[in-house]
Amino acid sequence: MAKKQQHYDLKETKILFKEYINKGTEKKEIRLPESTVKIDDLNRKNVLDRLYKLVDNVIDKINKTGRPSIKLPSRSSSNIIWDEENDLLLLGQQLQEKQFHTLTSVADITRLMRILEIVHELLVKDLHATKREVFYTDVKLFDEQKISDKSIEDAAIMLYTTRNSTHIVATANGTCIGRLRIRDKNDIIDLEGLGSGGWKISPFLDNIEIIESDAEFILAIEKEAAMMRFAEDRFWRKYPCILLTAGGVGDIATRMFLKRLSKELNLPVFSLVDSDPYGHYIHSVYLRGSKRLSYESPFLATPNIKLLGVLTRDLDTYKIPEVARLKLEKVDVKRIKDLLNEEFVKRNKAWEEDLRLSLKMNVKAEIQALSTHGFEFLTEKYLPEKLTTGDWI
Amino acid sequence: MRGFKITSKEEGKIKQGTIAEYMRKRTQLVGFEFGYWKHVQYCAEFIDNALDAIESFQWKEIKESDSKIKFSLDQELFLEKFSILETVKEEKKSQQLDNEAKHTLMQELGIESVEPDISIVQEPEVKEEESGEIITEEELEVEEEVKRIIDDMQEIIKPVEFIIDVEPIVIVRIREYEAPSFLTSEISQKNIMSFTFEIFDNGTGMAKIDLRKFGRYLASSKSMELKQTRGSQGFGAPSAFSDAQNTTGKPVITVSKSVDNVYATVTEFFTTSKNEKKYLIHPTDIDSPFLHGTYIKLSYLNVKYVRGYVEKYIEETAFMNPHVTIIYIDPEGKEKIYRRLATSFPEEPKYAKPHPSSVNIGDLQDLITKSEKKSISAFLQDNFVRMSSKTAKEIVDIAERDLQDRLNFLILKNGFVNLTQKKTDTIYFMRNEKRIFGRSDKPRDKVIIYQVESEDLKENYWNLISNYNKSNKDYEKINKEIKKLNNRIEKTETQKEIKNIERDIKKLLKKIDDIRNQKDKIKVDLNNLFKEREDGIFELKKLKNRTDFEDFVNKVQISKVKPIEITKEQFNSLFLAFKSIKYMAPPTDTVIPVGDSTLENTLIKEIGLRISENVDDFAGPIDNIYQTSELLYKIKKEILLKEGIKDTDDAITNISIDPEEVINLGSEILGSIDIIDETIDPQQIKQSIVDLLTYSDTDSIDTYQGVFEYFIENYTKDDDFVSAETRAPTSGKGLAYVVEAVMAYSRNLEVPKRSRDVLSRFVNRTPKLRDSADCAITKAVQAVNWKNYNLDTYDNNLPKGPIKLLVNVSGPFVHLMFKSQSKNALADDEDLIKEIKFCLEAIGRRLRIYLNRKASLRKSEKRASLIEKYIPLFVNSLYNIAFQGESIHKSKLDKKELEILMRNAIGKKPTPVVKPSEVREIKEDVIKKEELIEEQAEIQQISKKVEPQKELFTEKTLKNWTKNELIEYCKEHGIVLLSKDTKTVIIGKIIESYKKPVETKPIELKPPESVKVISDTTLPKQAQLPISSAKTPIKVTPKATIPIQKLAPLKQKQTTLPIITTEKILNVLSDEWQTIKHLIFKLKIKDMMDARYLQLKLKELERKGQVLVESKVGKRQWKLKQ
Amino acid sequence: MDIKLFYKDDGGVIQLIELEKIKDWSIEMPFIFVEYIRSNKLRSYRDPKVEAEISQYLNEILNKTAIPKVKQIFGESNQEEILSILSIFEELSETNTRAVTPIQNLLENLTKHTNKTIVSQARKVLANIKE
Repeated sequence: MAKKQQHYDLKETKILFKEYINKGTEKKEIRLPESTVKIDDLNRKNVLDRLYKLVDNVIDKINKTGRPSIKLPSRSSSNIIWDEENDLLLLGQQLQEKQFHTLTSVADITRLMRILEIVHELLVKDLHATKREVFYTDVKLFDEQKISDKSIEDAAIMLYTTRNSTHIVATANGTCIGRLRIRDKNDIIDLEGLGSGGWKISPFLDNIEIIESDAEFILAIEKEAAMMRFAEDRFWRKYPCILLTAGGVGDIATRMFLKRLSKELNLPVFSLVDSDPYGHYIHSVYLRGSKRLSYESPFLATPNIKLLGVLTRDLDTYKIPEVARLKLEKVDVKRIKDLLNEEFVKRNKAWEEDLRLSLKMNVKAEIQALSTHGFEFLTEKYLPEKLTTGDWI
Repeated sequence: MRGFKITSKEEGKIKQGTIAEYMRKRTQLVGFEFGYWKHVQYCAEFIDNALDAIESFQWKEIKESDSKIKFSLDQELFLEKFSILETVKEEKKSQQLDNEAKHTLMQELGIESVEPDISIVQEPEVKEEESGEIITEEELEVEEEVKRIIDDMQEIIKPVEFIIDVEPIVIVRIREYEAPSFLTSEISQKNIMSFTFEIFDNGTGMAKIDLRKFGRYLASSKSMELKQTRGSQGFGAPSAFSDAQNTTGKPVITVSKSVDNVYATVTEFFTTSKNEKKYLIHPTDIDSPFLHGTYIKLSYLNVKYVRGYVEKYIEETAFMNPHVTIIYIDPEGKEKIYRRLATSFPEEPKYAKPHPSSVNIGDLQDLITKSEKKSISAFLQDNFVRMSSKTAKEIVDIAERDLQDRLNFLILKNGFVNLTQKKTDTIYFMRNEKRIFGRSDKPRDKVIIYQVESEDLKENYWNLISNYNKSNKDYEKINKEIKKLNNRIEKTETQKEIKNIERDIKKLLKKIDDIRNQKDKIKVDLNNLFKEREDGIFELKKLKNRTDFEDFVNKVQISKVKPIEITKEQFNSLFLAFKSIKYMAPPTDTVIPVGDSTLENTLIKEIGLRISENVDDFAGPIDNIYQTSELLYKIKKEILLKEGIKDTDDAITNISIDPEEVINLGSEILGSIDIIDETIDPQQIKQSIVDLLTYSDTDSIDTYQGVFEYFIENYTKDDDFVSAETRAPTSGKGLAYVVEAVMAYSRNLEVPKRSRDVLSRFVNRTPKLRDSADCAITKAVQAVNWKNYNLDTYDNNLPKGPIKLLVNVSGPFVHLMFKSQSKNALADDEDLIKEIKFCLEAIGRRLRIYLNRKASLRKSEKRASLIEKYIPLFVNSLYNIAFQGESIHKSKLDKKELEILMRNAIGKKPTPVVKPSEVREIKEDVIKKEELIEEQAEIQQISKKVEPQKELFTEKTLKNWTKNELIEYCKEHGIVLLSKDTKTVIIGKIIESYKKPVETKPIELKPPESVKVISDTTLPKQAQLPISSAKTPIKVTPKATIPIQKLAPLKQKQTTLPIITTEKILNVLSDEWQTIKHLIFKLKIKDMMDARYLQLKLKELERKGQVLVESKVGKRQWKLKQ
Repeated sequence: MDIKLFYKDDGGVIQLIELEKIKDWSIEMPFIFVEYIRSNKLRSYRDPKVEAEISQYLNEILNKTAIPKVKQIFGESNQEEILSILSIFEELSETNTRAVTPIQNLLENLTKHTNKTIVSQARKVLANIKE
C-alpha cells in the first residue's frame, strides 16, 4: 500500500519560529551576571593590541622585580558560575597568577608565552593553524599535545577572547546542508547546491558570514548515518530547514556554527539523538557547552535547543517493537542518574520525566530503530509529525 | 695472753726486684715483637719523649721573664720549598771528596778503615782528658766514631739549621739495610731487615748527669705526682734500647745538649742486664749545631718496611701537636713535612698529685715506704690532692679507732687501757709519767703499766666496757647491713628503688655516727675512771714483756708513727680509713686540652678545608643590627635628655622609630662590612645589599635576617664543615681528664672503606692506632645515634661519610685509664664514655644544621638551575612579540638584559605576602581594578560589589582542589599551616579562617620592648651560625679583638750591641789552639747567648780565613792565622 | 540586527544579510552578491511580493554602498589604486559579466581619464560587459 505522501505543515515549529523572530528583534545583548567575564570574538587588530599590552606588562614586571608573572582567569571549578537566566556556564572573576620563579608554573608560563608568540605570528600573517600544528612547532617545549592544547586555551582566556580569534582552530568535523547561503572570504556558497555530501563546516569561522536563508528551523543530528537518510531524501526541499551534524559530540566549530545560525537567523533548533544517556549528553553539549570549555560557552551554546527525538515515550507512541529496543547497562543507569543530578535537567521537568521513564522501562534505542517501520518513516512521518505537533522537550 | 698479736718488722717491706731483669725477659710484653707495628712502637716511644722534651723546654723558658731563646710561634711558618733530602743530596756530593782524603790519612797511620757497626769494640779506658795529642789507637777510633755520629746527625740537622733554635722541631728518619745473616739466622721469620732509627728534637736536651742515667730502668719516680705528659704512657726508652740491642747487638748513640752548657755531649753505650751502662764512647763534649736538643740513633731488626703504619702515626701526631714541626723521612727516601700550624704553645699543666679514690693498696704501700715525712697526716697531705689537714686528721682518727678495736687496746685522754671481753680478764692501765730511767738522769716520759685490782674499779670498768663491746657488735651488724644494701643498688635499675635504698643507707650511717659518739663517751668515762687514780691499781715493775705493752702503745697511736715505720696492721687500718672518706673531685687545672679553635685550625690547614674567613665579619655586624632600633631609641633619648625640655619623660615614652631610619642605619652598618675574601667583589655585595633592602618593601626588622641568611648562604655555601668541642675538664674515680673532639666534613674527603679509618683516637695527644675495637673512645662513638645528625653509619655504628673524626682524652693519670699493658685502648669507664658521647653530640648538632643548610641550598640550586633553563625560551618569545609590535619598550629592548634581570631574581625570596588586613583589602582591590583595566583594554567593565571578606568557597569546591592549590591559597590568605597537615585539615583551617575576621599585623615599629621580642625571635646570636664557631681564626685579626701581643721574632742577633766584636775576638786569639771555653773565659762571657754568638762569629772569621780551626776529639779549637 | 527579513504569503520567511555588514566587504563582493540573488534565488521564492521587495533591497545595496564606493575611488584616489580596482573588475567581468554591469557608466567616465592605461583598462572591462 503506497504510503500517501502526507504533507505536514509543521505548524508548531512555525509558531516557535515566529516567536523567536519577535523575541529576536527586541532581544538585547545577553546581560551577563556582573561577576562574570565576557569573552568577545575579536578581530585580528584587537587581539594584537591586547597581546602587546600584556607583553608590555610582563616586561614592566621584569624591569621592576625581575620576577614576571601572568594573571589569567582561573579555570578551577570554583571559578565557574552557572548563569541561570541564560542557561549558560560562565567564568568567574577569580584570577590565577602564574609566577615564572616557581617550580610549579615556570614550564607553564614559558609554554604560554610560546603560544602567544605563535598566535602573534598567525595574526600578523593572517594564517590559521590547528592545535596539532601548534604542538609540532615546539615539541620539545610542549612535550605532549595535551599540554599544548591546555596552554592554547590559557592563551585565549588570557586575552579574554575566543580561541578562534587567536587563529588557532580546532579541526572541524561537522557537515551542514540545507536552505542557506554563506560567504567564505570572496566566495558565495549555496549549501543546497553541494550535493548530498553537504558543506564541510570550515574551522575558519571568522571568514564565514551568513548572507541568505529561507529555512524555518535547524535540525542537529547525532550520527552521520541518520544525516545520509535526510540527504538522500532531499528533506530540506520538502521542509524549509538546515541540517547539521558533528558525527557525535559537537566539536567547537560545529557548535559555534550552529550557535551563529540559530542566533543570527533566529531559527528554532531541534536535536535528533539516540534515546540513550550518550545522546542526551550530546544534546546537553549543544544546549550549554561542556564544563571544560566553559570559558567560550556564550559562543558555543545554543540555549534554546529542543530535544526532538528519539524520546523514550516515542518508543510506545510509534510502537517501536521490543526487539528494536535495547536494555540499559549498569553504566547507562549511572549516567542517567548523573544527568538527573544536573541543574539543567532538574529545571526541565519533561526532560526529567523522559529520563526517569527510560529508567523505569529500562530501555534505550537508536534513531535507526525507527527504520523498522520502513526507511522513509523517519523523514516522512516521524519527524514532520512531531514538528507539527510540537512534540519535543 | 689473748687479744695481743705481735708482728715482726720486716714483714712490712715489699721485696725490691730489679726491673731490668724483669724487662729483659718480657720484651714481647712491651710490644716489640716483629711486625708492621714495631716501627710505630719505636716512634711512639721516642716521639712522645721528644714532644715532652720540647714542651718542658718551652714551659721552663716561658717562666723566665726575659728568656730570649724560647720558641716564638707568632709567625706563620712556610716550608713549601724546604726539603732535607735535597740538601742531603748536595751534601753527599761535596762529602765524597773529603772522604778520600780521610781514608788516605788513615792508611798512612796504618789503621785500616774500620766499619764501626760490626765488630764489638772492647772497652777502651779513655780517661777524661781536657785536651792534648791523640795518643792511642783507640782514641783515634773514638774520634772517628764521633765524627761519623756527627756526620750522620748533621745529615738531618744541617738542612734545618736556619730554624733549629727558633722553631720547635722533631725529625725522625728510618733507614733500612740488609740484615747480616748471622743476626737473622736463628730468627724464624723471613724477610727480616735491619733498620736504623734516628730522632732529633730541640727540646730541653740532657746534661751529662742525665745522660748517665739515660737508658736505665729507673724505679718509678720519687712520688706518684705526675704531669700530663705523653711519656708516662709507654715503658719508655729503656725497653726500646733493650729490644734494639737484643736484635742487632748495636749500641745506642745519643747526642744531647741542654741550654746551660756550651758543648753537646755524645755517648755510645750498651745497657746491661744488670741495668747498668757500658760505654763505647763515654759522654764527651762536641760542638753543637743546636742550642738545645737531643739526637738518638739506634738500630733494630724488623720485617721489611711497609708504608702506611708509621706514616699514619706521624700524621695523626701532627694533627694533635700543631705547635711543633714534624719531619719524617721513611726508608724509601720519601719525606713528609708537617709544618707548625698553631701560633700558640699549649699551657703547662700543673703537677697532679694522685686523688685518694684513684689509689690502690699497692700504690699507697709504695708511697708510704718511701715517704720521709714525720707523720702519717703530713704524708697524706703531701702525696694526695683534696687532702686538707682536716681530712688527713679524720683519716688518722678513723684508722686509730679501727686499730683500737682490732688490738683491743683503747687510747684515753690520759693513758691507755686494754679492752677485755670477759669479766675475768685482767685489766691493765698505762700512763706516761715523768720518770728517770735508762742512761739519762733527767725525768722523761715513761710508759707506766698498772694492773687493776680494786673490785669496784673493775666493776665500773666492766660496766663501761660491756657497753663498749655491745656498741662494737651493733657497729658490725650495721656495717654488714650497709654492705647488703650497697649490693642491692648495683642490681636494681629503677631510679625510684635506688633512691629509697640510699635513704636507708643514710639512716644506717647516722646510726654509726651515734655508736661512734657513744664509744667516745664511754672512753671519756673510762678516762675519768682512771685519771689521777692512785688507789685500786698497782704498778707492775720488772715486767718481762714490758716491750709488748710499749709496742701496743706505739702500734695503736697511728698518729704518732713515722710513715716509714708503719706496721702491716696499722697500714691496713689506714688504708681502710683512707678509702672510707668521700673526697671532693680532683682539681682539673692539671688537665690541659688542645682547645677547640686550635683543633679546628689544624684540621683546616692540614686537610685544606675551605672555610670562608668572613663568617666572623658577619657575626659582628649582626649584633649591632639587633640593636639598631635600640640604638636609635637611645640616641633619641639622649638628645631629648640633653635638650632638657620640660616634659622629657612622656617625650621619651612616645619616641617613635621610623622604619626609614632603621633601614638607613642598618645599611650603613651593612655597608661597613669589608669583605676580605678576594673572590667576592665588594661592589657586587654593596649592590646586593641595596637590592635586598629596597626590593623587600615590607619594612619589618626581620628583613635583616633575610639579608644575613642571603649572605651566609651565598658566601659560605661551598664551605666545608669543621667543628671541635672541648668539654669542661671532669674526673671519674679520682682521675681528672678532659675530653675533646674535632670533626671535619668535606666533599674532597674520601668516604673511608673501613670503619676504623674514620676515627682517630688520641690519649694525651698521642695517636692510638691499635686495639681500636675495644677502646672506650670507639664505644662512645658507637653509642652516638649518628642517624639523627644526618650521618650514615657502618654496620658497627661508626659514622660513615666524607669525614675525619679525632677524639683526644688527656689527663695526668691516663696511664691508669688504659685497658691493658699495651696502652692502646682506654678501659670502658661509664662516665668517660658518657663524657665523650656528650662531646660528640654537641658536634653532631652543629653538623646537622650544616648538612640541612647544605641540603636546602642544593635543593634551591637545583630549583634555580631548573628555572634558569626556561629563561632564554621565555625571553625569546617575549622579545619576538614585543619587538614586532608597537610595545612601548620597543626601543630599548634587549634580550640579554632581560635574561640577566630574571636570573638575578632567582633565589631571592619573593616579597613576603602581607596579610590582607581590612585596610589593605580596599587598597589592594583598587590595585586589582587598575591591573584589570590595564590588561583588558576594551573589556566592558563590570563593577564588582565590594564585600569585605574574600570569595567564600564551599567545602565541596575546596575538596576538588589539589593539595598544592590549597596550600597556595592559604599562603595567599595568610592561613598558618603545619607541614604535616593533611588535605582535610587544611580545608578545615580555610573554612575556619572564613569565620573569624582576619587579624592585621601592626606595621609601625614600637619602642624597644617589642624590639626585644623581635630580636629574640630573629637570628639568635652565634648559635645559629652553623659554620665552625672558629672563634679566633689564625689569619684574620678581626678589628675589635685585642691585638695579639706581638713577640719580636727571635733572631740570632741580640738587641743590645754585643760586647763580642771581631777585634776583641782576634785580640784574645793567639797562635796556640784554644777551645771555646778559653775564649769564653777570656772574653768574660756570662750569657749563654753571647757564647752562642761567639761561636757564630768564629765561624764567620773561619770562612773569611782570618782564623784557623781544628777539631780535636770532637772539640773545635782556634788560633790566629800567621 | 544583522539580518533583514522578508515574509512570504505562505508564512515562509526569507532572510538576507543587513546592508550595514555589506559595507565591510571587499569592493567587488556586493556586486557578486546582488547578481547571485537576482539570478539564482529570486524566482525560487515563488512569491511575487517577496521577489519585488528583495530586488528593491538589492538595488538599495548597489546604490547605497556598492556603486558609491567604486565611484569614490575612481574619482579621487591615485592611479595605482584605480588600476588595481579595474583589474579586479576586469577579472570579474570575464566570469560574471552581469555582476559588473552596474558600474558600466562609471567605467565610461573613466575612458575620459587622463591616464592612458586606465582608459585602456576601462575599455577592456566595458568590452567584456557589452558582449
